[in-house]
Amino acid sequence: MSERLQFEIHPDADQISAFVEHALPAHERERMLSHLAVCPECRAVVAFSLPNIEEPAKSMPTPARKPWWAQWRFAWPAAAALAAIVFLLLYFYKGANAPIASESSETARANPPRPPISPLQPAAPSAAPAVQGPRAGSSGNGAAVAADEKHQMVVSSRSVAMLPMAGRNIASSAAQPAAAAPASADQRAVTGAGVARGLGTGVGSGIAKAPSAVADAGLQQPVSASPATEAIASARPAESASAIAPAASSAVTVEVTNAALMPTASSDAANIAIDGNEVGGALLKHALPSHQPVLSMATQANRMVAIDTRNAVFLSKDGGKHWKAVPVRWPSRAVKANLVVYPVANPARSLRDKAASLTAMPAGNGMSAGDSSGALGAQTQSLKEAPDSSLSGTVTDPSGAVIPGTSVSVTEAATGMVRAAKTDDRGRYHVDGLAPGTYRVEAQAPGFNRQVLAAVSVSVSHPAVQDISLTVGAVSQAVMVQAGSSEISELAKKEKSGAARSASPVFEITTDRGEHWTSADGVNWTHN
Amino acid sequence: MDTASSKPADLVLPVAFEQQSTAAQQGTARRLNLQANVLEELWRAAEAESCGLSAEEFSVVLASVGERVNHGLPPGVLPDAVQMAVFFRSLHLAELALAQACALGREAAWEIFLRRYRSELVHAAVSMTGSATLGHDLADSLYAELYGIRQAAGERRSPLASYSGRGSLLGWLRTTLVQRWRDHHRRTHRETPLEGFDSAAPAATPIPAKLEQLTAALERTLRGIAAEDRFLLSAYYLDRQTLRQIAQTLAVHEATISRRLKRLADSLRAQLIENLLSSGFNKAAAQEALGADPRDIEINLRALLQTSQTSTFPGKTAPTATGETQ
Repeated sequence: MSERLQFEIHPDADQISAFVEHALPAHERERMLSHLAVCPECRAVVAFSLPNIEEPAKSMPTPARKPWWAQWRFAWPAAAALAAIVFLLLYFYKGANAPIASESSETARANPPRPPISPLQPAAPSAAPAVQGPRAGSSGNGAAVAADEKHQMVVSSRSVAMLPMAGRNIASSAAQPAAAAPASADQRAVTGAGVARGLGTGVGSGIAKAPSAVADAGLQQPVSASPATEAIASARPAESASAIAPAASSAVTVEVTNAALMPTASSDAANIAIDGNEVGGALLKHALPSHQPVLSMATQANRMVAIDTRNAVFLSKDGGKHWKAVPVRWPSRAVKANLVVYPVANPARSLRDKAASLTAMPAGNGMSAGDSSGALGAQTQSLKEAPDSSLSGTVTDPSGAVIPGTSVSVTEAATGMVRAAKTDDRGRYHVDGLAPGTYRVEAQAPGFNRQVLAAVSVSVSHPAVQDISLTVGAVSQAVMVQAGSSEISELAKKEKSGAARSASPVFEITTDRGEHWTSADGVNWTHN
Repeated sequence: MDTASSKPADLVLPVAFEQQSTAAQQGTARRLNLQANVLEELWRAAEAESCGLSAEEFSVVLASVGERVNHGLPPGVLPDAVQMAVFFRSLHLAELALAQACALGREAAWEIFLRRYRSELVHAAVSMTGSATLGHDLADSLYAELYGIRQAAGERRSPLASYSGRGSLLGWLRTTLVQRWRDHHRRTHRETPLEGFDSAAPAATPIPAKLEQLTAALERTLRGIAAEDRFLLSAYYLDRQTLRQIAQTLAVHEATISRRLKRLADSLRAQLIENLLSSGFNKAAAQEALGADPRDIEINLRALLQTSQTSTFPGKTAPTATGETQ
């Protein structure tokens, strides 16, 4: 407070107190401030008149120290969300890996270390020439060809084949295992002791046309001599394949061949989705009475004929649950069980037909036509009396663009033998093993009109080249036929059409001497 | 203290005072343009009956207060009934009735007054003086004055009659106590300069021409700023009041005061430089004059602020010979 006397006009206590309590109107407050700005006395009075000026200063409340987690008030939600995300990632990561692991473990359980197939392995080399001998002999004299006048529509060698419904889409690429488990199955198919091809019945399973070049090194000619044409491998596990196999067994041939008989590990082995272990796995559940691995097996409906590695033949009438030994009536050892269909009409179908079906080049199966012809050419060569030639070309649309996946069928005018092929990614097709003559070539692709070339000459000296140009057809005419299914479709059509030349399939057992024994019921066997 | 008694209850109001008051009430009541129900409402809200104050007397009090402050309106503005009612409702009616009843010498009002404010007043006086004895003496002296010991023209005059009710009665009492303490300090102390500061020095020392120009520029600058800013500068730089005190006075936050002070200092310096430049200073000289000795600026500012005259309250009475205001 200033100690100097001030003789001025000052606001009274009422005005000052009202100013201190902010109760003055604006104009009066302005005057008060103007006065206070120049009057230290009144400023002192105002300062002393403040309500709390004489009160001791209150100690500031010391903020209570909060625990460390209380400072995470806003961080808790973020931390919780992060933890949830991590948990979900771990959960899904484990969920994604668990099936693989479990499947692998299941596979491991389903494929216990098999006993060595020593009984067969040493026999295979000896069996090969034994089998090859009669075959070679039969192919040499042509009598065997005549003996095979029956049109055997053997679907597969050491594979399970299926005749799908006509018009059904078959995804050959599905045979390529996409999942890890099928991939591992492929590896087992290559490296495993036994190889079998399960049958996918088309119930959602991927079906692939396996290459026909299944040249078992152990059997060499014998197996190739058998009219193996198409292989359909299912990517389904063996259990599901075997479970649905009976339902489709009317059109199914199942054959299980020991891998020891296929030491070549041919390229199509990698495409085998289901190996013999898995098919055998079904049998292992109801093991053969001999407790030996299955060497070969054929199934028709609930009837199954199996050959174990000791060449004993067994018959099951209830889908493999119960097996009964078949009395051996053949002098040699049974090495293969097939399901064959004997044609009713057109008995002139020769062995060439079977051989031709071997060389049908499926497109997109990972094996080139050249490879196929190279692998099978030698085999078919022995089946043919005349030197063969080939027919190739490119299928294009009106604009000149190639049409992959076009079904090309080559029909020999003289014999009616039909050969089928599909164009590859570059629109090329190749059919070899053709006898010189005139052929009727038909090409058909989805969305295009069917193109028929009535007379295409194939000479001996040099391969024939016939390019085909398809015209655009109506959408309604489009038929979705994927690679690898044309032959199967054709066969299925033939099976189902009235012009089919086959009766119901019968079991056939091939011995190591090349003899063929057939039976409709698996009990009574007759030599053919 | 000069006051002789602190027993207001022993005093009895003269009859003439009440009679004159009644006549004044009647005259004032006729000028109060309020509806009867509003007056009744205000009277009941003030609880004036418990203080021994009738409705008529209370209406006279309201009319007097309203006329004194023009019902809260600027001078020259005639209030209507609504504005008057709003103004009266904004008053501390109960305290106003109590104060006016005490001024009229009603025993019931004094009982209430003593019961409510005595301890508060003594506490404030002790805190202000820093001494219990001085505090009690100051409080008793104020009681005697409030009761109407002092007479003028044969009438008892109680300072409580000047209470308008715009602020709280306790605040009014505190302010009055501060004023009385200031008066007491004046009477009992010689005029001594503040420590370290000779207030007569600026006037006695011959002002150099440059400093005179600087003072003139400072005066022009201060005239251009708002009254609140001038008060802010004075309270902070002259009175050394704390930011908390200033903030409490202006009802703003301390941080706001700090920002405003900085802004004011910057703006003041810039305006000072402009004024100096307009006075013939070059820029370097102006900056040197401002930055050479900041105390010079402060001294001149202090002198300028203290010696400036204002006609802020022209209606106030001149100070008495004793040096007391009001």
